[in-house]
Amino acid sequence: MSKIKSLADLKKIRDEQVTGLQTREKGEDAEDLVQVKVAMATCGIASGAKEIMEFMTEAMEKRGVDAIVTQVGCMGYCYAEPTIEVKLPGSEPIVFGGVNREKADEIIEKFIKGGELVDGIIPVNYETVESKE
Amino acid sequence: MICKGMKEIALHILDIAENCIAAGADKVVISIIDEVSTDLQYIRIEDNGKGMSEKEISRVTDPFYTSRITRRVGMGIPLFCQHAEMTGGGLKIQSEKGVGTIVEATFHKSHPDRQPLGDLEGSWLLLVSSNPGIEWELICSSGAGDFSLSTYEIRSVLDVESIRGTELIASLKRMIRNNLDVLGLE
Repeated sequence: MSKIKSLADLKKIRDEQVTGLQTREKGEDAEDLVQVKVAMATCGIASGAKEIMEFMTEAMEKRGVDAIVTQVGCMGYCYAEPTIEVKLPGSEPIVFGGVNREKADEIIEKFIKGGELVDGIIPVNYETVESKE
Repeated sequence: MICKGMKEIALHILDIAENCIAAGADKVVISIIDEVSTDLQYIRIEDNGKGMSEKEISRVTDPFYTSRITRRVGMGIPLFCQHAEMTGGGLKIQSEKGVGTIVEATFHKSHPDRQPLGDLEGSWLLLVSSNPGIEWELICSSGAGDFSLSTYEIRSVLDVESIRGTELIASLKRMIRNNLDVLGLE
């Protein structure tokens, strides 16, 4: 296969395999989807949040979970990076800390797909530096 | 905390671009320019966000300054600056209130302490796919030629509404990587 060098090359390949590619349908409601926010400020990035975000995005699609994975700024839990916030449809968001690949995998399999809580949750009432004063 | 550190320039770019998003920009241009004659590599991140006043600019290289309220320190710019200075380069910020900001770091390319460029395609596509409201542009240039790509181009040439989905992202990644290899950017 020749190397893809330009968008024109890419378009040609995509046109050839058009059946395999499904883009998201318009007008879907974000509230009906699993929403994952990966904290990606300096602290998160330095702890490997990029790898976690890429893993989450790919794994959710591969495992057929309808989800939106996005990056957000600092959530204030720098000590526990990488952190991710997961919101299942119709429930309160939950923040997980110290997420590595294994933890991310466990979160997808047990929490997102099975609705079962897993270790590593950061209590939402945790005080940040700001609220302590 | 799992500490891996900022080991690649691409991670700094991802980090600094977060500031552009926070500044409300709707266009962000990231440029990587290798200048063979001077042995310099310029990394420029330019946005049309809300900009900063003179006073704010003078404070951003101070780690104990941050505009955010979730914590009291901001390490993004200071770290980027430090890594540039380690190679004998530096960091420059130009900004105007209401117009936008340009952050430019200069690295001595052959300096042993220069970090590798790293996964630039991954960082750029991560920014693109998670911030569809922003027009992103990537400009790469070296002695071997130029390469540029924008989200507008991708959407119009490929006739897609949004730039997401594992397959599309993976092929765009390969395309950017092939071009970076041709330019010899690393």
